[in-house]
Amino acid sequence: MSVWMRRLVVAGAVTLALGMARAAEAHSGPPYPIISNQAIGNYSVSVWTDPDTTDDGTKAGRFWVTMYRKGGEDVVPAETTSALTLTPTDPPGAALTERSSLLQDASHQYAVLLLDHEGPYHVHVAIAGPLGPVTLESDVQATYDLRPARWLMALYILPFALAGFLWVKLLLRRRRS
Amino acid sequence: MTTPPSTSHGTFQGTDVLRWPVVGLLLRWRHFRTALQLVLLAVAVVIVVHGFIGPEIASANLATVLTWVHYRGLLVVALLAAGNLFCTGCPIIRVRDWARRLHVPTRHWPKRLGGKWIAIVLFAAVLFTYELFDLWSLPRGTAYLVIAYFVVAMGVDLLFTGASFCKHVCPIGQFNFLTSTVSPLEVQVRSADTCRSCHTADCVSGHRPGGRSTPIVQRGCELGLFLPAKVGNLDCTFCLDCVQACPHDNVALGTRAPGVELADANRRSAIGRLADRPDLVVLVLLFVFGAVMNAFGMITPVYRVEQWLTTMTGGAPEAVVLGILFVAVIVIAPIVVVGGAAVATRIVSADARSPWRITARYVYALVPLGVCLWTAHYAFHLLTGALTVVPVTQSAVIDLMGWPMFGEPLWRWAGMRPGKVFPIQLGFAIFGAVGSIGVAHLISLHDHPKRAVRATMPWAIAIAIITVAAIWVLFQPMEMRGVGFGG
Ligand code: SF4
Ligand code: SF4
Repeated sequence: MSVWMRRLVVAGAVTLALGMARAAEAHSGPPYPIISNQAIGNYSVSVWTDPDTTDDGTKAGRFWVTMYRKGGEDVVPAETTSALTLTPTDPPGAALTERSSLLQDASHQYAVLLLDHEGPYHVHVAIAGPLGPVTLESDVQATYDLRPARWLMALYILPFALAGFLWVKLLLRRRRS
Repeated sequence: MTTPPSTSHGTFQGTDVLRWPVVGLLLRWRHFRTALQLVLLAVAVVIVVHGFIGPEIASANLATVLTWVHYRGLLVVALLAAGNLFCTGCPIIRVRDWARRLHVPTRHWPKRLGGKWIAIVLFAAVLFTYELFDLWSLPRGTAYLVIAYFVVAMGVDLLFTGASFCKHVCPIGQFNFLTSTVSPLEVQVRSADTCRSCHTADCVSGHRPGGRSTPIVQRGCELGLFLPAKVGNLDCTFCLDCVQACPHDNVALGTRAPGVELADANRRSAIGRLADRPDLVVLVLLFVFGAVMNAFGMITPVYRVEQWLTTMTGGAPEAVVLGILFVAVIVIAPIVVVGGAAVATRIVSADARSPWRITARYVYALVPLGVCLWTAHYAFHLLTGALTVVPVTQSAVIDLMGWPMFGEPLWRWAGMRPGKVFPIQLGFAIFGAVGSIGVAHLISLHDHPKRAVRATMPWAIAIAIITVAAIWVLFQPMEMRGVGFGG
């Protein structure tokens, strides 16, 4: 490997590592729980979220509510409902409420809300049904998940295209050797 | 006509990793493979145990996180950075070798089941069931899959000799074999002259220090690859048995031009000529178009297509609807795109061969693109979820021990943002497309030296069509699949 190629690899690895380290500070990537197996009333409740902020009116703040009968993994009655209320706290703003829809059964529910700015939100979860009503509280930090601008994208892609051409050069050179 | 692309037929001239100070010593250590296998066996045990006793939420279970986020991602990283290291460390072979101490198989794999046909059917079946049952979201399903893999491999390899499972049955193995054709390392002979003067061929038949009548102390290549006639990485599990078996220390793990073997028209040991292997042609098509299908299954529009198909078929079950989609993407699309390219090559380069023969020669040029599309997909999961293994392990320890031995789960540890990974995915697609066009041109330079550019053009267009389709898929919003809040 030539010196500049080695430098390229090291620079790439460092960028990746820094990117990962930065990512680890805030949330990024797959959903994470804001409430984990909390026993409350007759339920055991988890709430997972992927709180993406958007500017174009697309709902992207996703919340998964899983609730089982307390002390086990038995599905809750079909009539059980859950609703999420999100209130921006800094700066304070109007509350948004969304009723969750069922995934495969009443124990697995899902809601998606429009989070139109980055920052902290207070999360209020209200569960109701034959096992009784309960409420849970938590907080999330909403963040953008933006793809780079087009010109920046072209810049990112350039090294891959360049590496591709080097590869082809190598292939053709090996053929002659 | 120009000379064929050079691969491992001559004397090795690259860098031999086995000669490197620390890495080389480690790789040549007799128990290196066993050590790697034991590590991966421990991981497999963790996957199965947590799959059964851990939470049903895929993002919180080591079975789903380790299998669908880390294993797949690291697999392609290892293949692209070095070679088929996951076959080297395959824990199934460790267990099989233990079992073979109790029962030694004597039957040979039946000739009529030769080739890769069974593996092709299984590969397609895995892709289909993965989509149908949302396997990524099922910790118990994933644990059962791992167990099933061990059981089937054991059944095959306790019945038949050699590495029958690896060569003819294992879908992951075929994935690894194809991907390793673009790996930078290859097991190859150091000196062709040494092989010419060698009369024992221990690399394939096993090493008997005391001569023919004495027992084998080190097995030779279980996949029947005779090193002097071996070309490229196809069918090579990187087990390094041949390195240990060769009495002349004549086997290298050498650098080479990735992908050059795909253009090699020569006969290969235990494989024959690539163009004479319809099973390999079908495997390549499944590998490339399966990559598009697998990524397509992750995006929001697939649900709209499925709904439309359900309406069109009068409410057919999901399996039927998905089956129609699969046939469209992995059967009809290849026939149209690849068949079209073959017919066009025949016309523009005045090639007298049938479109099938042209396809069988050029189809291997699609492998770099296929590899990079799989990489783009698996890299997405790996890069966005690389750190999830930390909180999920902490949570698993709490599940098992009842107290936070490794601390409370750091659930916010995840990985890169999907938006930031997007350019990397795009970059891989373009990298693969350029590599594929390069291999197609290499084939043209060999088969049509006077009309090489013309002969390459239809394949460049076919590669561009597949790449554009894949990039369109990448641009679509992701359904939160792979997250798995299923039950
Ligand atoms: S045993 Fe060694 S020297 Fe003999 S043919 Fe095999 S690689 Fe060559
Ligand atoms: S013994 Fe066969 S499969 Fe193993 S590394 Fe050598 S050539 Fe590859």
